[in-house]
Amino acid sequence: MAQLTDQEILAALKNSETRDKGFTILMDKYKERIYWYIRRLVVLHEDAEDVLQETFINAYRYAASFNGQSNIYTWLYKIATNECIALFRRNKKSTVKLVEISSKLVNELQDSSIGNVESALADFHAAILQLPEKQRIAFNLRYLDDLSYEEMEEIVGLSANTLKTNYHYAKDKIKTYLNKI
Amino acid sequence: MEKEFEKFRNHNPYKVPDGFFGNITKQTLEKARQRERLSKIRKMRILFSAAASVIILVAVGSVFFNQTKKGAETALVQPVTEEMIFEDIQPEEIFMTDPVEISENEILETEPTENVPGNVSENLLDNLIAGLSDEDLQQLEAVIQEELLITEFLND
Repeated sequence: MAQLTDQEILAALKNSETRDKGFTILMDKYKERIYWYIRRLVVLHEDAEDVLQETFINAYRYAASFNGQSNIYTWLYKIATNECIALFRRNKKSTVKLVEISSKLVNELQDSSIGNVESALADFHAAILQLPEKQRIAFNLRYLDDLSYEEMEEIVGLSANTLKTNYHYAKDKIKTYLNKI
Repeated sequence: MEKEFEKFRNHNPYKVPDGFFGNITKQTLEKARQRERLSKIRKMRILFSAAASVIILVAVGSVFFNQTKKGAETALVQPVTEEMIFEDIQPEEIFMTDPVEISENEILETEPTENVPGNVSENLLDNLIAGLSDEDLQQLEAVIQEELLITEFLND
């Protein structure tokens, strides 16, 4: 079977008769990409799994209201980003400070890293986790997910210039962090 | 600087449980369907509750309206009572008649009237039920049954 385009998948998702099939195709196509984006932000697999499911459940429920003007994957990134931010807010309420959350995430990363993983790689990801929320999202989207600033604008809802600034600050902070260790 | 990062771009320090990506689509689809069903039930419940409230309001309103109307009609054809007669009699006329002696036993034997406070709520309920038409009663029964079905479904 020829692979469906995003427009065809969206049309299937919007049609009540082909909705489930459309959903399955959509999720099979984007689940890994979205999962890794989420996982790099939230670190823990259990959290990443919950956020991934919430992202696709929202896509299932609100597909009818998606106008299709942007790419379907930027829409998924947008839902995932909002779900991650909601998770950060919930954690923030329980653990008070973002700094504490970040250091907790770094510890989780170090604990969950397998022995044969290069320590430089773990340090690099630990450096990303030290970043403030907006810079962390900007760096992940731009550098690790290779998205354009136009796409990032749609996902985060900030202007391209603000995102560029956040990205450059993030790079500098990662460099400083890595030089310290 | 970015070249320094380049070696990390396609590598991940995180691990995923075996078979995770194979099962997650089916699980998520099931959850999405379940969420959709619950959302529909909630919407229906709100709709039925609103409809039930309106029906009860109309039923109770019509009962009170009918009672008020009946009361007004009764007042128009009310027989003349003793009190009404005494209102028209002048004080001098009262002293002209012989006083009637009433023994204590006679007072005690008097039956309690319908207006005794303890009987008011029972009478009101009786009147409310008596005032409902067959159609009103059927509608109320249907609403109660719908509510029971929804509650039963949610409990399952």
